[in-house]
Amino acid sequence: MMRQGAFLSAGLVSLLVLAGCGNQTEISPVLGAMAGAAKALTKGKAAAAPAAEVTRADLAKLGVPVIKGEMKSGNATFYLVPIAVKGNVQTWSTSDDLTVTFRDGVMVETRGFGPDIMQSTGPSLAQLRAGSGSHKRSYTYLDGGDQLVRYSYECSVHFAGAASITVVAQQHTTTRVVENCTGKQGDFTNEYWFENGGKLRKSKELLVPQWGHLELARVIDGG
Amino acid sequence: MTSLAARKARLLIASSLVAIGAHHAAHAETGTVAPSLNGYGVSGLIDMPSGEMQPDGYLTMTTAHWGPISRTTLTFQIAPRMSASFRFLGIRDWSDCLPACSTSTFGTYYDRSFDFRYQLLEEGRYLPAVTVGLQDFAGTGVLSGEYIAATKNLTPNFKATVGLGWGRLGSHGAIGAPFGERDKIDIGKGGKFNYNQWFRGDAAPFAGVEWRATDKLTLKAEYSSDTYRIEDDQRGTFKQRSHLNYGAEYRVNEWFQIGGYYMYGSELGLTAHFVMNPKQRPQGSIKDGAPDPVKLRPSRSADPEAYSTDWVTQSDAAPILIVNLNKRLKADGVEVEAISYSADRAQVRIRNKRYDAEAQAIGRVARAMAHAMPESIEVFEIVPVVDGLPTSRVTMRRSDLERFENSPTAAESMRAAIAISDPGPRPALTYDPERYPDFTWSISPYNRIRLFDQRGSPFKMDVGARLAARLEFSPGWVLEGSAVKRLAGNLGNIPPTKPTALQPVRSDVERYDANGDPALERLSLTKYAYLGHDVYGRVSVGYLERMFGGVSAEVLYKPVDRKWAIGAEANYVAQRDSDGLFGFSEYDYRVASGHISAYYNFAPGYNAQVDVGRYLAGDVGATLRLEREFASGWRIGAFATKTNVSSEDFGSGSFDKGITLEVPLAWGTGRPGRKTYETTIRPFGRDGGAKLDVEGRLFETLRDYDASGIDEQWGRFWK
Repeated sequence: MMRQGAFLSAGLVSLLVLAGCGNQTEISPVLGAMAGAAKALTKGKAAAAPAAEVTRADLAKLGVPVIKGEMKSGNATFYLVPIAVKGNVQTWSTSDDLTVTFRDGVMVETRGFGPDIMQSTGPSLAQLRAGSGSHKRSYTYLDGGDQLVRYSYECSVHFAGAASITVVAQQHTTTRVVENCTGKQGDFTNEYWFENGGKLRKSKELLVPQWGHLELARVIDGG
Repeated sequence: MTSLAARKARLLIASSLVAIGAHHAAHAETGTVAPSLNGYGVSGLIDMPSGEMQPDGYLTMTTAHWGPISRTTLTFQIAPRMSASFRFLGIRDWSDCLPACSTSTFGTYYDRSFDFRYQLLEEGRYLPAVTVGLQDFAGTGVLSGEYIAATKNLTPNFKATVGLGWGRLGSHGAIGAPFGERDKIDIGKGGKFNYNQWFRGDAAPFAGVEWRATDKLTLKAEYSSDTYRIEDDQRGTFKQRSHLNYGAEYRVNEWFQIGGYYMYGSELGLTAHFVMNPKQRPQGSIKDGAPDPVKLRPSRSADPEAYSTDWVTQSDAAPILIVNLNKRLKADGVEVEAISYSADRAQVRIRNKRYDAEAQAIGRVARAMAHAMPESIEVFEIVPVVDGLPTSRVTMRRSDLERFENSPTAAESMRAAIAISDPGPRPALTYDPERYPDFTWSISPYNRIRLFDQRGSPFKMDVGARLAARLEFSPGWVLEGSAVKRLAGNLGNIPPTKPTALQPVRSDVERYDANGDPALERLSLTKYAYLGHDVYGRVSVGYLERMFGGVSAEVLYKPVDRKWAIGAEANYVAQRDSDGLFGFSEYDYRVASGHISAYYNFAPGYNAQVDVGRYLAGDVGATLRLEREFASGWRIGAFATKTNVSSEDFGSGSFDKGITLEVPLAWGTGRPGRKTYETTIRPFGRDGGAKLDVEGRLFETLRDYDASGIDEQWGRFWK
């Protein structure tokens, strides 16, 4: 904690001029940004070049199930592998501490994204697979003041026909199921692609209205 | 849970989720736009106020400039219907004599003022919002005026305001003096409430309209009831040719707006408004790496051996457990400094060096314990330690942790299942030898700002480097210090000494600023101790602050789950030499000071503190401090001290008062962090009512970890 005991000291200006080096764990955002900029400069163009395409063979080599995640609004792609199983609840993680937790394969929580789903209620996988019916959903987030806020929705499910999808260079024949939800915080649609055997191959599930959806494609299945 | 081999695979592919910027901020867009601000920095039109209020908690800074006039105002929405403002005013081309003189020189007139506004009526379907306001209600009163203003939104994008003003807001087009004559202000040394002026004298109507042409652009027009008698007639700073003002305002975003104006038929104006909402970080929820999921234990019937308690007697169990816990917590910036345990219960004492939300630090430690603790341990006790002081104790059942994670009601269920209590009796602790001595140091830029200096520029600043170091060589024993070296600035000149009837305990700050380069700011040894039964103690010896050195002792009684605390502090100090080195001979001044302090949280988020005692100049009196505290860590407060020093002896301002602001860096960065920026703004810094500025006062040290400190960010337990 910095204490400015100066007699006549003030100014929001000073917020910009804080902290420097040492063995303390926090550095100021200004210095952090400068360090980041310097890093980018030294790395040059290499930093800006798009990452090499990850192939199915690369993923298969890991020897574990893999989900490919995409967030269109953040123009982000990430790969999840399972790290914890607790009954019908599974938590999957990226290498850099993003996690997505599924109950029966339906996304129920996230961590590490920022505006995470802290807790939620929603349909079971069987309800979605049935392709009809209605249910309630709720998502609980932490707002910018660390208070839990709950968004509630009324949802209905219906079939949207057969769909052939490609997941990392492999074709899958699926049935598309659409879940339409309406609530005070706006409307959204989740989508699910089920294979014949009932396997959920791909889904597009809401993270938070301001950010949009996560697209989750089950690339490598478990043994 | 089965810990899968996949944990390793997790390290192989990095995600590309770095591209997410602040523009994806997930703060709740309410769709409503905060009312606009006027040139006085309060809700209003251009030069006239409106009946509206800013949203609760907003802190706004407005800087407005037109013709010869510059006003910079900080306004805080104390409560939904109450706001207060502090303003610094400069008027250029100020003639030093009345228009009668033939020759005259021109300078700049500076003044400070306070406003207070209260909303009598919130806007309804038919009724307007009605606010009564006191502008510049104390002191010299150059801007003094009172008003009642009503504003109604007539369409979603069009609103109209009418009002009635007194004082300078009743100086043009008066319709009479409904509450009697307005006497001349008795200024004296300033700082007095001019209550016998309020709403007296001529009253005049004002009005205006505001049209939100687009989401970004607002057009305004108003009829002003201010005739600028002093600025125009008496001091000749500008010529008022009309009472109509026009303006256009552009809303860059929710946090920044600018405006351009044509004022009084003769001048052009510009304003900039900076808006901050302490209730919400601009970037929304804190972004932090995901925690490890809670590790489940096998059921006792499936694996009874796992629950064996043989490990308790194992001699190296404690060091192994500490190492394992700290390995898990390294990335979280939390350290376990000591543990104690029995077969089914373990206590860990932690230092939270990273999380602004105490609940999140506790959540991370609970998870680490679920991984590292032998299965037989069912009860977890987590005791946050600050400066060696156990602050509180959070007790939970491990099976609740296992059960409620991923539950749709995880936060509520877990909160109901934990207990927050006093630290309790000290168990037989095994310390981590790695944690002591704990040495931290930093070199960082510093700045020192002097506002309202009427000799030359009203804004002066030094910048330089500060070297700070802290050594906690055993629990509760802290040796710390800091030194500064100026690199640039304009605080180097010592202005002529102001006459003071008191020992210059603070008014000589300019001498310290100028002579102390480099200066040792502090170098002190402090012992903190928990005395049991909610009683804490502190003794500090050394160079305690820039201007005083000596000894300071404090005791505090602070029950962890109560809204109040009470403490006492006694100091015996000598005034340091202004060169910032080790001597005490320049002033040869010693004083015994001290206070009895009472702290009370009188409503959620609102704190009061009363100190009664003897101050540094030997004066005796009391300080009242009121503060609004937000879950995000923002604290905005005001204080006033009245002692047996007369207004005359005190000098300008009559008594000590000011505004305090504490802003957590995490609010701005959107990342976890415990650093805060604190500042105090005093309109007049004098010698009466001055307190020793000793580090490590107990209440400040402990408050984050009491029950309400943990509860107000409880949602982050599972983050």
